[in-house]
Amino acid sequence: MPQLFCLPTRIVACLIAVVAFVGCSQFGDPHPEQPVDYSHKIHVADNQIACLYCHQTADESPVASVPSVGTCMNCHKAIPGATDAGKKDVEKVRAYWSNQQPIPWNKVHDEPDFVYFTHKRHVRYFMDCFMSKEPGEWESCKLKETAAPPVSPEEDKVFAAQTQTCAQCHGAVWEMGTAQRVEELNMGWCVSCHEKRIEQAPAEMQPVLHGRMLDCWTCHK
Amino acid sequence: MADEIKRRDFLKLVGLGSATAVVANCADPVERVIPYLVKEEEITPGKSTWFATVCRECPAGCGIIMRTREGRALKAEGNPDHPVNAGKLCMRGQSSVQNLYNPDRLRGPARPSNGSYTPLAWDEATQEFAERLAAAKQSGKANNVAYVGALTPGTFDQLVGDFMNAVGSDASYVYEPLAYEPIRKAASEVFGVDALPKFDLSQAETIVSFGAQYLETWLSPVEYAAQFAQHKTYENGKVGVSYFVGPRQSLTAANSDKWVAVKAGHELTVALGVLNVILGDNLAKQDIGAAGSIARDYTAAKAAEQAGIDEETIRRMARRLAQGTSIALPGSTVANPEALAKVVFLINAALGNLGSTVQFGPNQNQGRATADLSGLIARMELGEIDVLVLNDVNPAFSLPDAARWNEAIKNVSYVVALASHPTETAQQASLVLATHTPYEQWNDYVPREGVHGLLQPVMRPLYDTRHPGDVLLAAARSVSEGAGGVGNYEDYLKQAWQGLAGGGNFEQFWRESLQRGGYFAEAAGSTVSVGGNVATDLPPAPSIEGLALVAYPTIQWYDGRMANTPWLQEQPDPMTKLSWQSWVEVSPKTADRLGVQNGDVVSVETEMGKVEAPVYVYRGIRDDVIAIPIGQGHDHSFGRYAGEANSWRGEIIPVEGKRGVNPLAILPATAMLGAAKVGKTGRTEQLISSQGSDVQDGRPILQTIPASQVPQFVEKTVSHTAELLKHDKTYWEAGTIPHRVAGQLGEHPGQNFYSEIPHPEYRWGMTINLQNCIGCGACQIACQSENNVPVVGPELIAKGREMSWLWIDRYYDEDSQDPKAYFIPSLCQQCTSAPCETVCPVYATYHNPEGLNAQVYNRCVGTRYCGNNCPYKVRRFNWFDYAWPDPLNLQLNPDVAVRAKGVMEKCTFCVQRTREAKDLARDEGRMVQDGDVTTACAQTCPTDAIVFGNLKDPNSQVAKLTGNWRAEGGETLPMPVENALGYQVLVELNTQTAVTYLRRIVQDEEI
Repeated sequence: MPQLFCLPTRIVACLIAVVAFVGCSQFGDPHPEQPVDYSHKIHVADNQIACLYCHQTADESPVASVPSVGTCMNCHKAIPGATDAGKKDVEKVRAYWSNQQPIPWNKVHDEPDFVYFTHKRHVRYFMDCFMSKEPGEWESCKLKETAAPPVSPEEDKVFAAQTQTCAQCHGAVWEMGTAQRVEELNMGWCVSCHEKRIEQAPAEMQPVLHGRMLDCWTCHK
Repeated sequence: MADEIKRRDFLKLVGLGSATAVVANCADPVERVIPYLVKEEEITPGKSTWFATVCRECPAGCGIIMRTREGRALKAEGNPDHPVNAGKLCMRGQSSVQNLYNPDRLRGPARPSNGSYTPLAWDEATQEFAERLAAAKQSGKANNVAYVGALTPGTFDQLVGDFMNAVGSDASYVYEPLAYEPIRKAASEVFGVDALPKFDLSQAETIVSFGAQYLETWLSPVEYAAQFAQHKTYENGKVGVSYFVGPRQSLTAANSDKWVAVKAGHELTVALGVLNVILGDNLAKQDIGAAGSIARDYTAAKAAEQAGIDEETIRRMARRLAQGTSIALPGSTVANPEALAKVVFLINAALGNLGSTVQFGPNQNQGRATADLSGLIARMELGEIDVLVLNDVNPAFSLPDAARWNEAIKNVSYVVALASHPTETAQQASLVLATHTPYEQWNDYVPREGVHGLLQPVMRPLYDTRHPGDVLLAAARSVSEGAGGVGNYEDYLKQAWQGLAGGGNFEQFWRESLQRGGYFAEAAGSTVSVGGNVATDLPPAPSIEGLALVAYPTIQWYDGRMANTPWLQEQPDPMTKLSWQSWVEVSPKTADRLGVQNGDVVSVETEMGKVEAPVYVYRGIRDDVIAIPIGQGHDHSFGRYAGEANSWRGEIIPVEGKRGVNPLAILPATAMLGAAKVGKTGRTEQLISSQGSDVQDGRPILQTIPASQVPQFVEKTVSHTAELLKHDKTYWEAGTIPHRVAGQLGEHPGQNFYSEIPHPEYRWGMTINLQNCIGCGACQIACQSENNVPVVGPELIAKGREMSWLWIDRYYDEDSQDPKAYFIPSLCQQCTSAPCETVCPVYATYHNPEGLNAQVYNRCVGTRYCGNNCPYKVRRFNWFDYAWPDPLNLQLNPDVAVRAKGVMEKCTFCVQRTREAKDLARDEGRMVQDGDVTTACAQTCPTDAIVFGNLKDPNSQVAKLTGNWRAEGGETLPMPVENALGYQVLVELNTQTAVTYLRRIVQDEEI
C-alpha cells in the first residue's frame, strides 16, 4: 500500500510543527512595529528618565499604564529630537497632540483575559528588597539575571533599583528601541519564579508562601 | 483498498493541518493599547474610583456609591453615609447600571412613529419645541401648557416652577403610579398637617400593616427592611410580632408572623374593627376625641364578618398593638386608601405612636405625587391643552384604559416627551427629547425633609442626550428671557445649594457634599394631635360577588418601568419564583373548582376588558381572590427584553408581540382591584419557574426554632460546646468548622477519607441569619452585577439552566395550617471536604489554601462531573456563549473573567474582592481584618443577614457567629444567642461547609 506522505514530507511537517511551537508563543508578536519609533535607550539610558515617570501607576495599580500624549509633550513641546530620524518621530508625536489623538500603541506584553497580574505587588516587592539592601547585595533580591543598570546605584539608587525591578520581567528595556518582549510570560515561566522565591524564604514561611504564591487563584480570575 | 486513508495517515494530515494553523496564528493582529491624551487626575488605570450619587429607580431616594473603572460605571452599591439606606440597596438599585447601559436607550432627539424613532438634530428639535411654546403662550388661552413629570423633590421642582412661570401656566403635575397622595391627604384631615410622616419600624414591638408592602415597594423598602430586621431581633426572650392584612400573601405578608387574609378591598374594615376594639376595650393611651366615632359601628364581630376573617384575630391585633411600642401602616395600593390612612392614623394616635414610631417633621416628599391625572385628562379631552410636556413618566402604560389617557392625548396638538428610554408614552409624542439617565446628571433629590441627596455624573453621557434641566431651561428662556437665571442646570443647582451652605465657603461645602453624597440634617420632629373636625363618614367597601381580581406591584418590576432590564426580567419573583412572564395566582381550592392547573392559560375578564395569562396555583391567596402582578404587558416599543422574545444559543431575540399582560389595563382608575370572571382557554403556557418544590419534603435544609424553645436550645449548645472544648481547646485555630446536628455540637476530626486540608492564613466563611433574611433577592442581583453572571432567557430558565451563583429558595412550612413561607439564600457552601473537587478529571476545581472551592475556567473541559456530584446544586454550566448586547458589555467587571461556552462556574466568595483586600492589607503589613472586605451579597443585604469574613480570625464577626470562638483558660466566652442557633445544610454528608445558617426563630405564642 502506498505511503500517503513520503519521508521528506514527513520531515517537513515535523519541522513546521516544531517551529510553530517553539517560535510562536501564544502571546503574539514579541516585537511589533509601533506607530512611533520610540527609543527606550534614548530616554532611559541616555537621558536618565526614570521608568515611573512614564509608566506612572506601575507601583500603585495592577496596570503599569502607558504614558498619555500629554506626558510626552511635557518635554517635547521644547525638545525637537537630536537626529533626523528622532526629529521625524517627535514630529509624529506633536501631530498626534495637535490632532488631539492618542497614540495607538501595539501591545507587547499581553496576558490573556483570565489572568490576574498586578504590577504593584511585583514592583513593590523588588523595590523594597533593592532599597533595603546595599547595591553589593542586590543579587540576592533578583530572581532573574539582569544587565547592569544604566546608572550606577551609588549615583541614583532609586532609579537604578527601578531599572533592575522592571528588568526582572521586561529585560534590559534601557537598551531597547521600541519595547520588545524577552520573556515568555506563560504560566510555567511565572511559576518558576514564584517557586524560586519560596525556596529562598525561611522554612517556616514556606507553607504560607506556597499558599500565597502558588494557588491557582493567585493569578487566575 | 488502495485509495482508503488509514487512521494513522488521517491523524498525520490533521497534525499537519493544525501545525499550519498554529503558524498562521502567529500573524494574529496584536492588541492595541490606547493611552489617555491627557491623564485624568482622579483616574488611575486599573483601580476603581467611586462616585456618590442617588438611586432614582424608585422614589425612595437611596444613596449610591458607584464603582467606576477607567471612566465607566461598573457597580452600584449603597452609600453608607446616606440616612435613608445606610449602605444597602434593593435589587432594583443594584440593577440600575443596566438602566444606564440599556441597549435600547434613546440615543438622541427623535420623532416617534410606529414603534421606532427617526433621529433629529438637537437644534431642529429645540427650535420646534420653542416655537410651539411661543405659539401656545401667544394664543391667549389660560394654562394651555401642561407639564407631567416624575417625582423630583429638590432643585428640579424649583426649575419646573420656573418653567411653568415662563410659559405662563400652572398645569403642572407630579405623577407616580404608586403614589402616596391619599396618605398625605388623610394626615391633612386628621392632624391638619399636609404631609406624609416618617415611619420607624425599628423600635416597634408590634407592626400591623394594612396592605402596606413595606419590604417590597411601599415608600422606602430598603430602609424599612433594615428597620424590620431590628424589630425581629431576639432580645430578652422575645421577638417582635408583625401582622399583614391583605387578600394575598405578599413578600411582606410572608415575613410577617401572621398574614390576615381579608377579602379584597377590606383592609379598611379590619382597621376600623381594630380601632373599635382599642377604643371600646379602653386600650387607648391617648384620647382622640370625637374622631373615634368613625369606628363606632365596626365592632370586632361585624368587621370580622364583613372582611371574612376571624373575630379573635382583630381583638388580638388590637391588644398586641396596645401592649408595647407599636406601629400601624396604611397601604396605598388598596381600595379607599385615603379613608384607610385616616383610620390608621387614628389608631397610631390612640396608641400614642405619634412622635415615636410615626414622626411628623422629617416628612417624606413622596406624598406630593399623585396617581390621579383625571383633571388633566378631562382638559386634554376638551382640547384645552396645546402643549403637553412629559418628563420621565409613562401614563400610557401605568394608567388603566378606563382613565382614557390614550384617547385624550390625541386631542393635544403637541406632545413633547423627555425620556432616556423608549416608552409607550414617548411613542405618543410628537417629539422625543432624549435625556441623560440619572447617572449622567447633575441633580439633587430630597426624599424627606433635611435629607438632600446629591447626584453627580458618574461617567460621560453615552449618547447624544441632554440634561432634562438644560432642556427645560432652554425652553423657558426661549419664551421668557432670563428665566431661571444664567448658565446651565449645573449652575442652577449650585445656585440653589448656596442656601444650604449657610454662607460659609461654598466650594468647600460643595466638594464635601459631593463626597458624602449630599447634605444631611434631618428635620426636627414636630408635635401633632388629632383635630376636632375629622369627617366620620366612610366610603363604601367594594362589594364584589364571586372572584376579585387584585393587581399588585412586585419587588422586581415595581410599577412596570423596569421591564426592559434583563437582570430584573430574569429575577424570580420572591413568592412565586416565576420570571419573564405574567401569571394569574389562583388558590388551590379555586383552581380545583375552576378545573385549572399550573400553566393553563385562563382569560380574566372585568367590565373593562379581558387579559389572558397562565395560572399559577398559589397557596398564599384567598379562595375568592385572584391576582396578577404589575410590570409586564409591554411590547417592543419598550425595548427588546420587555416584549416577547426567544432565547437562541445564549442570545435573546425579540419576536412579535407583548410579553405578559398589564392588569391595570382592565381595572378601574386609581384602584387596583375589581370583580372578575375567569374562563378557560384550553391553551397552556410553560411556567418559567426556578424552584421545583414548594416544600422541603422533610429535609432539614431550612431550619426553624420556636421562640419559646430558644433558651433551652442555647443552653444545650453551650454545654455541648464546653464539653467539646475540654477535649480540644484549639479547634478554632485549625480553621475547621464545628458541626451541628439538631442543636448538638460535634466534630468529626479524623473521620475524613481525605487528608486534613491546611488553611495557613485565611479560611473564608459566611453566616446567613435566616431570622433576618426576608427573601428580597438584592443579594442575587448584586452577585450577578459583581461577577459577570449572564442572563440566559426564559427557555433556559425553564430547563433549569439558570446561571445565578446565588439564589433564594422559598419553602412553605409543611406542618403549618396557614401558608407560612420561609426564605433561604443558597450559594456554594465552600466545603472543606468538597464532593466536587474529588471528581474533576482535569484538576480544574480544587481546594485553595483559603478554603475556597476554586474553579479555574481555562482549565475546565466541561465534563460537569463536579456539578453532578455537588449535593447543593450550586455549580452552573455554560451551555452557550451568552450575549451582552452593546453597550451592556461595558458593565462587565474587568476583575472577573467572562466564562466561555462549555465551562463550569460557581460562587467564588467574590475572590476578586478578597484579592484586592489582601493587596491593600499587605501595603500596611497586616492581615485582612473585619471591615476590609465583604462579598457583594453581604454588602447589599438590607437586613445584614449575611456576614462574611475570616474564620481563622477569632475576633471576626463571622468566627463568633459560626461558633469558632476562643476558649480562654478552658472557659468558653459567653455565647451570643444567634451563634448557638447555627447549623450547616446537609451536615450528615460531612462536607464541612464554610457557610453556617442561623436558624429562623418562629413566633409560637398565639398571635
